[in-house]
Amino acid sequence: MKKSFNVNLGGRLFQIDEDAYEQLSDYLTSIRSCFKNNDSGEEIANDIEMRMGELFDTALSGFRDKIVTLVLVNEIIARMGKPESMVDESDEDVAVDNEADKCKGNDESKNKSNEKATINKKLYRDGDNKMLGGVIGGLSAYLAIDVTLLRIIAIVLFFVSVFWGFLFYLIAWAIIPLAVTTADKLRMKGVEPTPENIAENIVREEPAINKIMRNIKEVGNKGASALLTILLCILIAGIFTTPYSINYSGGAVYSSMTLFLPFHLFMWWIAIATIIAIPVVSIIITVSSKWKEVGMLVKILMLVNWILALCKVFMYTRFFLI
Amino acid sequence: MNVENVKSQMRKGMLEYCVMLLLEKKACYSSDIIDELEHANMIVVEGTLYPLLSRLKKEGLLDYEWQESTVGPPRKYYKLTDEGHRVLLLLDENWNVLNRAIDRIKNIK
Repeated sequence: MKKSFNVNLGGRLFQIDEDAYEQLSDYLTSIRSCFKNNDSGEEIANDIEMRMGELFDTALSGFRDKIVTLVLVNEIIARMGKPESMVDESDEDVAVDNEADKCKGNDESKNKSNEKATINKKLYRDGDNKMLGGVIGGLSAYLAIDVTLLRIIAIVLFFVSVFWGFLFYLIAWAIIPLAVTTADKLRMKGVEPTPENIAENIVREEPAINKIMRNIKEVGNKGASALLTILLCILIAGIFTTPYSINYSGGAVYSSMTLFLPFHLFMWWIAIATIIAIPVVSIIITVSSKWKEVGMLVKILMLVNWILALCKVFMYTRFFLI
Repeated sequence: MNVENVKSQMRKGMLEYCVMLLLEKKACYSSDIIDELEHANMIVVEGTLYPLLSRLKKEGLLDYEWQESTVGPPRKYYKLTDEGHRVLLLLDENWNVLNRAIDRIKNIK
């Protein structure tokens, strides 16, 4: 669910999502600030605004509700280009030179803004650097610690207590906001979101469609291996609790089984799901001929998981039948 | 050498001339200019056109008038001024000179 507003963009009325609105308004502000020394800067900015309105209109012409989304805004921004590259260098006004410099944000001022960074850094989830919800990615930007190191620490902590680790992650996922607009992403890295900095970063973002294509590509890799790792964790936890010696008439094992019956039923379902899911995933990978992109570790994990799950189902079923 | 940079410099130099060529025959709406430039692979990002149009207008080479549109808000139609036509002739001449120069240099054995 997203909040949305009505905006008048160059004489056309649109409904626009909140995040899309922020991104668009950042962009238009940085354009205005780039042209503020130009006599006809306001007119240029209005022309650009009008053109963007026209592009939105064309993009949404097939839809009944004209709702501008963040994806669309980023697409159109990529089409219009960086504010800094718009500044016309051959303009005779002397002022324009300064304004071009300002928009380009010379290295000195950039370094400065990076230094004062830590003061107003904000904690966000990093959608560009995520395996699950971007919590660790965001933390790594906030603490300026390498993200892989943080992930390893997180996995170790997760093994210390599966329950608390899981709960903590879920809560963090829910309460830490996702860095959506360029301004958010700058604040996440501790760079002050001035119009110049936004202008500098805004078009660095990939066009949305590339991002989607890349994500689809990575599903075979990142997504599947993250999913499989989670499955493996659950299964490893299960190994120690599975009664492999049911026939053995030890009362202790039996009583612990009945005590945690709902848990073991749950584990049984997980194992069944694994037995089905792994071949299905393999078929999908085969069909899309992506095996080359799947790492050796993941392949081994998939095989081991599948065999383990088979054993577990066998054991549990025997237990349940007794 | 930064090839992209050189390429964009070359294109930038030509963009002005191309825009004036497009406006030579008839008045155009800025989005039509963009479409034509895109077809000709002369423009990478659209935002560069508007400051250019504004500067050419300031220099008195072109002018615009507002026209009602059936599908949206009124549009600016740009056209060359007399001064613009004169300058375009000079640029045409210069283009021919450059063209010949490149040809000659390329054909040196």
